[in-house]
Amino acid sequence: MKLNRKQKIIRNILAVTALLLLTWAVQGFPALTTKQAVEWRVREYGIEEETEILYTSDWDETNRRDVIFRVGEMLGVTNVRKNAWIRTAGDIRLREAQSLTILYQTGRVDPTAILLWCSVDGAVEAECVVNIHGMLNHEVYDETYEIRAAAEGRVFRFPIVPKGTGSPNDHDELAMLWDFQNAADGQSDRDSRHTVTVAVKDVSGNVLETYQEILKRE
Amino acid sequence: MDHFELWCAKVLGHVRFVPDRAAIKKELTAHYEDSVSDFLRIGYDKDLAASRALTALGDAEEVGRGLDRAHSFWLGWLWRVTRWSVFLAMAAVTVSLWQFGMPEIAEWIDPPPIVEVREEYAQIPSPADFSAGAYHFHFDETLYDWNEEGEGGQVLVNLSAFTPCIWLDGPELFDLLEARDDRGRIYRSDRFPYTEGYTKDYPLRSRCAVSIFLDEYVPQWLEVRHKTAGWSFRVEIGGGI
Repeated sequence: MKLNRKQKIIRNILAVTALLLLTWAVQGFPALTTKQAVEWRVREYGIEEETEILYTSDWDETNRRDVIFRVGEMLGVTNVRKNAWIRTAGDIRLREAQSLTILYQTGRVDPTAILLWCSVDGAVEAECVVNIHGMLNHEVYDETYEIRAAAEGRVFRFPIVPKGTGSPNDHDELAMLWDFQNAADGQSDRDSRHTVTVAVKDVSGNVLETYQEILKRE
Repeated sequence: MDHFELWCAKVLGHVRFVPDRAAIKKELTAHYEDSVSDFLRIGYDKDLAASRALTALGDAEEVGRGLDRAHSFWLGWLWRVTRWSVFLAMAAVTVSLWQFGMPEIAEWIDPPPIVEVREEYAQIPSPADFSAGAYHFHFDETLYDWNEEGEGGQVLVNLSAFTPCIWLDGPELFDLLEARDDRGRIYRSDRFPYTEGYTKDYPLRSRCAVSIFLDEYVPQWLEVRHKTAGWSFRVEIGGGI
């Protein structure tokens, strides 16, 4: 049967659609945007409330970005990976939203930053003091990081830079940071007791609110 | 340039979809040559036959406008673009197949269970199937593995999770399940006695496995709850078998 040009266009559009669906299927039905990846992941966690993306960090050198989102009364954080056009969201951590809500990264062996969601009006800068405390090789390990950050909308991002890069104690520090990362899930070493203190300030440097939490295995 | 060539150029000048011009010219030429042959056959001399055949082709302006309508500019380009798109999509399929391999369609339809059932496992009644969120959960089998040394055992639940949203992986269970027994004791995901949940993802039917590891106490029942989804189901053990 000879097709006219309109019929050929329809045939081609149908063929392209089928072929693109096949491509998508072969690749495992990946998400194509960060928002889509997060929304799908939230549904895999069985959460049906609508997902509102509040913050996305820039892509880092490992093609990952942190995403903060809201579902119902909860704030969530996840990690989205980029591979060409494919976006994949990792594990999700949910916390009840408060005026200052600390959100610990997911999907990383070592934390690269601590995120703070701030709903205190007028907060333009913040300080974060992280005390890593625990036992390592039968000795007490104690290290403190003082980090400052400027507001990115409602979010403060406190980068964690290991202090001992290049020193023989590198591995100790990285091991304890790894323990700190696990502590956010309540799965740190039994002897660990990590403290995170944040203070948000207004444009004049006055402290508007402070918050502290201790990460310790129950 | 002879008269026909001039006529042809005038006609083709009206056709805005340029890629079709060559084919149109070929068709007009064939038509013209047929007509000339007809006139020659009935006794016209060569020049007169050519002149009559050209007249019979009609006014170049009118024919040109008609052909432009018939060979629509937008439709022509749309057709070409869709044709290129087919080739690009075929290339995308080929690259994807090369990169990811052929999908295991048979496994999509009937994926293997995560935990193989061993002979020593005893079947116990499965809870009723249920739907939650994007998934429908079907209990494939519920098993109890009694530890003969009297130190509890393991309850194993094999489930299938179906979803019409083929782009979703299976339900996330890892570290998200918690069980409670008839004495109110909690079985968490990070310490003994504990509850584990695993999912093996397939587009149509994901396989899930829930294992609850008991200590010396064998409860009458266990209620397994998903911490973020909120769904739960109860497994009746009956205090051991």
